[in-house]
Amino acid sequence: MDDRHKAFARILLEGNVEAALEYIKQYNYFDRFSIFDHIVTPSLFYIGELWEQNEISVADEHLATGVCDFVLSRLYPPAGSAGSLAKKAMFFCLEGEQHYLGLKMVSSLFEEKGWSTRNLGPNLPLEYAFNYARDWRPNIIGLSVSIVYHLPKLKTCVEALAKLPYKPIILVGGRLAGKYDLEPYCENKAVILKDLESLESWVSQTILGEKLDALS
Amino acid sequence: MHYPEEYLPVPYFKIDNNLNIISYSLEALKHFNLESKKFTSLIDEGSIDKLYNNLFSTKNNQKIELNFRTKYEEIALFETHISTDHEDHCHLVLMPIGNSIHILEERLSALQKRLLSTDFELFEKKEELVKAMKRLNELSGPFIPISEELAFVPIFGNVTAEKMKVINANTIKHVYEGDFHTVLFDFTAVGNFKSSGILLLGELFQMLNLMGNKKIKLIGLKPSHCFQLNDHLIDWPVVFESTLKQVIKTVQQKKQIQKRLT
Repeated sequence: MDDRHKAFARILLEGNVEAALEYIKQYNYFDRFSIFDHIVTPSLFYIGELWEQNEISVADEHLATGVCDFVLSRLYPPAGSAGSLAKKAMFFCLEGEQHYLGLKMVSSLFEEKGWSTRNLGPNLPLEYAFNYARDWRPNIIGLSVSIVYHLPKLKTCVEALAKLPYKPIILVGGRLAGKYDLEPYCENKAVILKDLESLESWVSQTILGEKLDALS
Repeated sequence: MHYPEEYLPVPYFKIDNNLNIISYSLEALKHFNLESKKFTSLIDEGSIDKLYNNLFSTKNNQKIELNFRTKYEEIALFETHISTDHEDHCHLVLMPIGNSIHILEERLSALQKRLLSTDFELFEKKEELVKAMKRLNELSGPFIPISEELAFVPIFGNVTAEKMKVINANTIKHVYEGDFHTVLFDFTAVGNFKSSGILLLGELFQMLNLMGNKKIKLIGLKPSHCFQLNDHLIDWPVVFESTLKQVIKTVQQKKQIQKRLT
């Protein structure tokens, strides 16, 4: 494991927006997925570790989050309307969840693949998410959970969204998906994705599957 | 000497080396549900490892941030001061810092919302710009019917592929719908010709030619244009006139002759 993510984490913690932008720009030979998977995500985990080691405070973490958000928004702005035929994906964090950067990256990856996306951000009450999904009818609904006490909410949420009459695919990710088995909370109604890599391979397999279906 | 620790104005815990709570301050009751005697039952899952790493540490008077679960089922951040005594008991004083962090969180959330809306504003501006460019291209080659037989297309600015795409579609549509015998293209206000623009201009002339019975006249070509257009001028099914005035004069003369004959 190289130390690229540590260097990026240090820049984020300094609050140096320009340096953070330049740092990511120098890896322009990496695709978006590699930037997210090899640099941004590990750097955010590393910041969490530094807090655990009592090296930094929660205030530092918040600053780093803000800078990282800025960098992602600046380097990967929304692609714009993907056309009416494009597939649709909507993302949100469960009510009470504030860790939204992971979803922001996921949304950006879907957008890069030509999907029309809506990222509803952190802390979204289920009722709002449900109504939005019912009206906009996304093919995929992705949600993120990172706090253990929200797991009962995850169960309610997956159950509710699975009842949508047009049967969207529900994806569940976030810090907890990599750490615990979330299957008991999803009961086969959702696809659980442990990290960005499993998301990437799930998406390619799904697209490949659809192409094969179309051929046969 | 006994310290009346229950009257401490902050949450305070004394725990043994099995992390059982031995005593606490009354202030602790205001924040936590103390039915379980285990101190770890108060700690958020994400802070447990941090607690283990810092309890009974050789360093005395440690200060760490820990997330606690309050009796209101919320997660709250406390700056926790820890010291160990000679009986291997840990003393923990919790200073709530959730409020100051809350302000920070609100600011962050405002910043995040701003970023989301800025993204959106930028995207909207871009769409507006694309529309404006298209409109600009439409206006750079308006189709003007001078009479039922004569149409005039003055072209403004540089001849680029983007501009010609718009002008071509517009011109073909009007010519198809009308009954024009002569279409005049005026290049007086043209700066440069881009090679991709020249190709599309040639396509336009060929298409008009294929639509039959049309005379395509080019006016206002300057010497510098001729250098850029070079061989194309010979291949194009067009004739050249010097100015609009001259063309209209010729048309009028022809009409007068026709009138006299009839």
